[in-house]
Amino acid sequence: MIGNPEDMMVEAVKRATKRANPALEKLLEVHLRLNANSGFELAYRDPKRFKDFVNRLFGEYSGRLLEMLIVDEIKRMLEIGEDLENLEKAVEILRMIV
Amino acid sequence: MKSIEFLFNRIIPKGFPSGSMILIVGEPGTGKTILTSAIANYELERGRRILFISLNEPKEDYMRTIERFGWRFNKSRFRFVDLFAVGREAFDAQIRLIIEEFAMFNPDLVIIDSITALTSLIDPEFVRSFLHASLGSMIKKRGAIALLIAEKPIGKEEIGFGVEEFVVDGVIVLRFVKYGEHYRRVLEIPKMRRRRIEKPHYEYTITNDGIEFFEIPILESVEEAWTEKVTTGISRLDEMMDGGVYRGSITVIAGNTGTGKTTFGIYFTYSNALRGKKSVFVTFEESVESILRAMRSYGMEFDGVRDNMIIVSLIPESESPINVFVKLKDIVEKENPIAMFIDSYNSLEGNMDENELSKMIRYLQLMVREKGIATMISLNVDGRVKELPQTGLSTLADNIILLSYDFEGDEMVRKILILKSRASNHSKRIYRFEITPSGVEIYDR
Repeated sequence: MIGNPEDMMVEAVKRATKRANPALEKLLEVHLRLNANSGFELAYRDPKRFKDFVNRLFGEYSGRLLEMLIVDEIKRMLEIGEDLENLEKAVEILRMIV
Repeated sequence: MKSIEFLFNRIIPKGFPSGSMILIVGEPGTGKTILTSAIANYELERGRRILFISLNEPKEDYMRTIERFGWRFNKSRFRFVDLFAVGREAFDAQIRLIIEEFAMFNPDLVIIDSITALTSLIDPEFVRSFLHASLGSMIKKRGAIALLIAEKPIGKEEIGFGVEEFVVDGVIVLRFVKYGEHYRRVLEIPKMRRRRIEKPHYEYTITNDGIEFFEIPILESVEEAWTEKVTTGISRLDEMMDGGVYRGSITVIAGNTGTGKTTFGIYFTYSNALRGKKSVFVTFEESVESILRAMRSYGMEFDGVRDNMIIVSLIPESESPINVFVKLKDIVEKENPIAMFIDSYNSLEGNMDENELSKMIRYLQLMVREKGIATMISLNVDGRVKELPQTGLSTLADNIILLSYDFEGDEMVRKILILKSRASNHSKRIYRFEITPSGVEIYDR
């Protein structure tokens, strides 16, 4: 069971990248390590900066697609039907609920 | 005529039907992205909105590619969506993103580059469902057009995954066809609903301006023959030909190796350039530097005619006849010459199919007539010059000049004869000539 909100976000990013394309997880991980000196936890700590790095790697729309998938995973994990628009909002909810 | 105007006027009259999905299939390197981008450029110039969905390259790379062709896409009417290929698990989200983008941007033309990448990780059934139910219905409702690019592996005959061609309204196939030593690019249209395609097969080439389809010159374009003559560059030869050669005519200068055909071509182009008339020297055999060196040896100063004389060196081995013609056409349209020398017919002949070459020479003839270019083409003849080879060239030629040599005692003697000069009272005698440091000297006896 994942109780820590940061761990939940890391897991959501992993699941989302796997869902999109199995090759993406490692690619994104290496990209973040090299350029942001961080792992997937950046999505929780600074969602805007995380999105910037994702967009730089995959492009604006693929970045949006990955964001949609991450948000979708958070909704599944929290079992909420709430209309989450973006990663920032998902982090807000995580901080409130967990 | 511009490439896409030609595509939408001649090849597909009235363009793609509205509300249609067109599959563009081709092997790598056939120019699928360039063709669709040229179409995008054409539509943008007409105020339309384009949604370009790319799964093959990021936006920066794509923009660099199109800038090479001088296309500047209007940002407010061109939207580039870069996506990566996803599996079944994420396909719904990707479709949702595309649909959202379509609804917000409301495009007239959607390009997906490529449908192969979009569907590489999922079942073909989903492809059919996406094309038919999602994209197809949006396109039809809006009256827009979708161009779906599909990759075709080299050597594979089937189109796409075997589902796309049944759900689309039109199919355009781009392929390489091997012809002798070279490949040429061919566009085929096996299917186009609501359009009558009279000729479903066109050769095309990729140029600095995008894609250019090979257009057969219109036969009836020149009704009246040119009456103005230009100099051959050799005053005695001008006299023998009743004042030079007509503009719009083709002169074949045939002879054995070493008789001076290239020298005649140099005099022809240089002299006209000296008179302020644009001339082009096209060589398939030598470098530009070797032609300049030959000119210097005759005391000609290229700097003095630089603005009027263009020397072009082309390599025929890498070109199809159509490509060579298109290159010559480009030079002619850019430079607008009065005189042109092509050296030689044989170097083209050695690398091209005979029928294709004859066709190209016929198009060349139509072009030089239309533009009024006095054109000289050299032809190397083996053996006795009396046996002029029966090429398509000699049949089309307006004038034929024969150069030969004989041995008289211990001396080699060059001879010249005007075998044919259409609509001119030309000399029928054989003359002796020499190539001296001061030029071509033709003697009366």
